[in-house]
Amino acid sequence: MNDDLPTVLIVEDEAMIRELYFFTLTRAGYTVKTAGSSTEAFSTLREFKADIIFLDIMLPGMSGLDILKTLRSDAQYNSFDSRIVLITNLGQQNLAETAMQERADGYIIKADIVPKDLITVIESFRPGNAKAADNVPMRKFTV
Amino acid sequence: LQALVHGLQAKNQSLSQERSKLESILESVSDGVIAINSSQQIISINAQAAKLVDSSPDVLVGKDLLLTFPLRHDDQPLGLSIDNPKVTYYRNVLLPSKDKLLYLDIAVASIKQQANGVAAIITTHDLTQSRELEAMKLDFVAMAAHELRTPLTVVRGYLNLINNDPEIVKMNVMNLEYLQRAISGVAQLAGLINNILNVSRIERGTLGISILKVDIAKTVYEIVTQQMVSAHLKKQQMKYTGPNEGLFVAADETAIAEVVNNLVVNAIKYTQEGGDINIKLEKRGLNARLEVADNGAGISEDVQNHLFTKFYRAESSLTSGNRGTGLGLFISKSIIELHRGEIGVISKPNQGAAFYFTLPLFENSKHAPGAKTAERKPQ
Repeated sequence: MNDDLPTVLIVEDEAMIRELYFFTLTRAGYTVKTAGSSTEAFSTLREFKADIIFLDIMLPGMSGLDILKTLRSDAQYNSFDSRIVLITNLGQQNLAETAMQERADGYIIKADIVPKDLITVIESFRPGNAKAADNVPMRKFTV
Repeated sequence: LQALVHGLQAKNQSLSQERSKLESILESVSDGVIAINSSQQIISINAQAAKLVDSSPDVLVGKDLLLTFPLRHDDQPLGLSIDNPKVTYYRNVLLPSKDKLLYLDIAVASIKQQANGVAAIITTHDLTQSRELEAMKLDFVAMAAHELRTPLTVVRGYLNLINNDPEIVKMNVMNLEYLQRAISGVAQLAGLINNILNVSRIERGTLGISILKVDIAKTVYEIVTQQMVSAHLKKQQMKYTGPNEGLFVAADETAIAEVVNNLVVNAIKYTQEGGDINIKLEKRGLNARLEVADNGAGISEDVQNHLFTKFYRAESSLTSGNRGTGLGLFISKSIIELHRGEIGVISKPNQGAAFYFTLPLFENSKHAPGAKTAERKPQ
């Protein structure tokens, strides 16, 4: 664990994927929390300030897009200035537009990346590092 | 006199037999048949046609055709021309019915020598069910492909986790090689699933592109640089002529990168060892034009005609040893056409092949004033 590194929350209901990302990021030294549902995500965020949130869209109960809306509008979740990257395998039409409207910072198709790409994404959000993610298949919103 | 009466009765009987024979033929055809007069009123209609508007023939006779059947074609109310001496076909005609939209193919046959006031015969073929089945099939394909992505993410992720473990140096050389093969296989699988999803989006008309200002020179230069290694492995000379940056087109960056990648990867794959590949990007009129030319075996005209269709592969995949799905060029064509560009191939057997596409320059596109830029800006 390294105090200078950004803190991360992974919201993903598929345990094997959640743990895969958790192992990768903790091994790289980040402080990482995980949540398998909206309820877990909200209760974690009440006490944990996440600099980066990887947020799955298809979740049981409340969807990732609805969670995103709440995080961007409710101060108790400390997430107004968090970087929120949607992670999905759906790639539905207009996803980019919807995600941008709801003020996500980007989205990733999970099947198109390897776990260490998440590190590149996190690093790309650090000042002066924007180009780091140029080769990661992430659609990043800079507008 | 009696003989005359008998004769008339017999004729009458045979006429009514003939009439009921015709009626039962009309009623038993699965398509709808409607006869109209010159003012487009229904003179006769079979049960199949009446069923389209949840009615029965005796109710509809005498009614105006287009008021009864508010048909729409190409987003407008259908205007029937019954003066045309030939049969006129209308495909994909829409008919709003009680709870859904019906899709019909319609044929209108005008009758020259009008008998009993019949000016035209209209036959309707209901395609709604087959369209629904087709949509279900496409939905299933899309759903299956999406479902496949979850286990794929898991397999791909954990293989890469092993690969990036510092302890991997302890693994024996053979196992390391096996791991690399598994990783490359799984990456191929990811590409395949993406192709299938793209095809299902194209067929459902949901392949959306978001057009922004894209530096095509940068995209092409990056892809060529990335693919240089594969060309070197086949001892091919791959050359790029054109700017490294600063040529802007109106395009969807991800989609166009896929097309460029397809053409370059195809050239490497289908050109013999030691061959030449020349990639040229230039401004031509109002467009940017990319050409990927090789000095390989070339493509016959016959094959060229099929090259951009779905699942087509020039040689049998079993004999050529080159694996592929035959979807890349189909997808590329759909993407370029969505951008209102052109894509094609110029080739003759034994004289190599040049694949090209054009895209409208950003400065000339309707997106130019105030359009957003897809370039990644430093934050």
